[in-house]
Amino acid sequence: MRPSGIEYTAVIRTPPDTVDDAHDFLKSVWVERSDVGPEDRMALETVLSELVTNVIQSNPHSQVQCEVTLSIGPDLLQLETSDTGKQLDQLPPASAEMPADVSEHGRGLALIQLMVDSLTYRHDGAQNVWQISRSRRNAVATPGRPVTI
Amino acid sequence: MTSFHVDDVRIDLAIIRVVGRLNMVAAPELRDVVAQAVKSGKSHLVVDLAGVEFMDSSGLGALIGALKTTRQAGGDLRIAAPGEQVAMVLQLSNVDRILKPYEDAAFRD
Repeated sequence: MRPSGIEYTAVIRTPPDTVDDAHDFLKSVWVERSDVGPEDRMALETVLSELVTNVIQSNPHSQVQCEVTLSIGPDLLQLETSDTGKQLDQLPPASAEMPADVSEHGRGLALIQLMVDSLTYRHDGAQNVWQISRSRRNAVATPGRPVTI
Repeated sequence: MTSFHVDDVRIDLAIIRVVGRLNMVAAPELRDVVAQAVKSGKSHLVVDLAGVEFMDSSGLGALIGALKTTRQAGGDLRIAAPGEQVAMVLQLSNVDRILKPYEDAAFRD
C-alpha cells in the first residue's frame, strides 16, 4: 500500500485471536482519531470485520496471522489485510451480488463492495493481500439523517 | 463478550435482548438461543437489537436462520430497535425486506 496518511497497524493471530480483536483495534484508533466521522467508522468496521471473518473461515484448521494496516489521509482511507492463510482458489468477482433473501451466507463481499471505492485482492507468493480504499465523508451525522454510503 | 437475555412475554412469545457485537463469534450463540427458545414453545420471537453496537454478515445470517427456525415451528420473528450501523447493514444487504420490525399489530395480539 502506498500510504497517503498516518498508518495504524495490528497483527491478529487466530486462534486464539478472533474478529473481536479486529474491532478492538479500530476502537483504539478512533480514540486517537476523532476526526474520522461516524459513516466512515461504520464502513471501516464492517469492511474489516468481513475481511477478517473471511480469513478465519477460509482457514478452519490452521493458525493464521493477519496483519491489518489502516491509513488515514486527509481525503482517503485505505485498509489492507495481509494474511498467511491458503491462497484463494479463484479471484473474487469484480462485482459481487447479494444472494437470495433467505440465504444465510455469501453477503460479505457484496457488502464490502457497497462501502468502498475500490477493492483489490492479490497473492504475493506468501500471503493473501486485500486492499480497500474509500473517500472520506467528513460530515457529522445528524440524528434522523438517512445513512448515505 | 456478547450477551443474550430472553424475556418471556406470553406462552408462545419471547423477546431476546442482544447486547454487544453480532459477528462470527456471537452468531452461533444467537442461533443456539433461538433454537432453545423455539424448542421450549416460543415460536414467536422478537430480537431486540438496541444493545447491538455492531453487526456484520455473520449476524445477518444468524438472524435469517432464526427467522427460518421460527417459521418452521409455525411462528415468526421480528426485530426491534436497530442502531445506526445495524440499520445500515440491513439496508445495504436488502435483508430489511425480510426481517420486519416489531411494530406490527398482528405480532402484538
